[in-house]
Amino acid sequence: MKSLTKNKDLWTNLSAKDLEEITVPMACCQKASIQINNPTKKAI
Amino acid sequence: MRLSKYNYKHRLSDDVLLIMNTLTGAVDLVEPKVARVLFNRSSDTSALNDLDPETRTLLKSRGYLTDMSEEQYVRESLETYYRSHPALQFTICPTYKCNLACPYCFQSDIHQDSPTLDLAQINEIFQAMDQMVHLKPEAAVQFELFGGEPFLARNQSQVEYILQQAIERSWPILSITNGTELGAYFPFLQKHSAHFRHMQITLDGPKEIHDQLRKYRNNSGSYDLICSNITFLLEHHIPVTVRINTGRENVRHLPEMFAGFERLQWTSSPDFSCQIAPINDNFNTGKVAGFQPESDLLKQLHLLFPDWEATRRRYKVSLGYFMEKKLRILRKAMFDTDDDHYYFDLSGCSASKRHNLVFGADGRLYPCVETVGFPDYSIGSYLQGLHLDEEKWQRWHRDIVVNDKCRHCNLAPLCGGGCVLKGSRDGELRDFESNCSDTRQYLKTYLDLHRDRLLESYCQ
Repeated sequence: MKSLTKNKDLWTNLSAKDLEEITVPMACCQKASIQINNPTKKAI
Repeated sequence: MRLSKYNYKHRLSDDVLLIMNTLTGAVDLVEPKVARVLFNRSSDTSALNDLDPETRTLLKSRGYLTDMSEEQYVRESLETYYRSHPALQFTICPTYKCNLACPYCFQSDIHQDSPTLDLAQINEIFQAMDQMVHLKPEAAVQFELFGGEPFLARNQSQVEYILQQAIERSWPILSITNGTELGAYFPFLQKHSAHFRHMQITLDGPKEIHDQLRKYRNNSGSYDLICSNITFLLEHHIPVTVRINTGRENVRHLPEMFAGFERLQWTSSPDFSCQIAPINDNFNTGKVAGFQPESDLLKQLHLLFPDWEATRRRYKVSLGYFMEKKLRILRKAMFDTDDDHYYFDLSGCSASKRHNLVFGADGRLYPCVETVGFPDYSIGSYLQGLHLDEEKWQRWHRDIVVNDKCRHCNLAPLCGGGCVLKGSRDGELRDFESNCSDTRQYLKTYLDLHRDRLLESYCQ
């Protein structure tokens, strides 16, 4: 068995403080992501 | 001791398997005997006795075997996360109008005669925002401009007024813009550059390709103007992410595009990055021209750029939000990447955390920028006072504890349940089901592409 990630990097080894300080990328918006002519929804 | 429900395996050869625990982030290479025990379908754990004590201890330390209640751990982690990350992301759409007519834009249905905010409405928006901040004083506020095209020259007075309001509140400013009419705003941007945290501007190919896609209503192209405006922003240290919307047709032009970024000296700027974002089908229509599953895109990228990791570094390129999110453990394991993309997150998209509040140009509030202009998705209004439908907004609160489907999925901690909009059949979200896209195939493809490297590292 060969470990490719170190135990210290395991998320479950993060302390509550680590979790509190962790940053998460916020942006997932994708303007080009929705089919253009949504057939079920009427835009204003 | 039990088997974790978040164990995942992928066979690399007859003698070696990759195993991963998506909750702990452990990745290991093992012989088939170990995998057989871990993926034994019965709940009988007596097979564990077939393993030597050292391996059992190791598997436990990595989370493949566990004594803890994983569900409780997930729930507590999410609670810690939500409690310790109070955030408000306000977005204003000054208008839904746009000066371009890109064929794939989801807003093309929105009438070009839709309203533009006036100063009185803008004041009402900021009153509503101040009210929200008052209720959540500890929240970190981010402010974003979206549209339509937010930086239209003809809306300059309203838009600069909006930006000024955000600056007075010391809110960092983000924007998604097509970049064509930023010239009108240069003096303002130059003066207030420190307040702009990030601008996302789209280029969809080298000039001849981009100009076919990102075109004006008279069919002329926008490439040269956008490039010159991006250069201005970078020269004034305003961070720019060039977004490349990809479909089956334009991925092959990426090498030429990247070379162009280098020629323009963008890639040597610390404020430059670019992102490959495959066009999606969030309303599940099945009719998006050029739609390319993530796994196919991954294969094509590795064909075009045999050393994809080196390409990422050289051109400061990343993949779309969901593609990055799902690979973060494996990239960490294989390349020891310790960048912004390695993070712990058990929820789906940014709208799923109920941090987002989008103020539409139509007086309505929306939970996600991709729903603006579609009244069915509205969660309230802000004219004549803030009216927020909390119950409807609450339905956007999605994570791997709330989502039924995620509770039984070994990959759930990787994707977090995905885009809420994609999982909803209508604006009410009453029959929500996580949309997994092709996550399983995507991971398999990534691991197949890196099989040789992984086997090599097993032998070292």
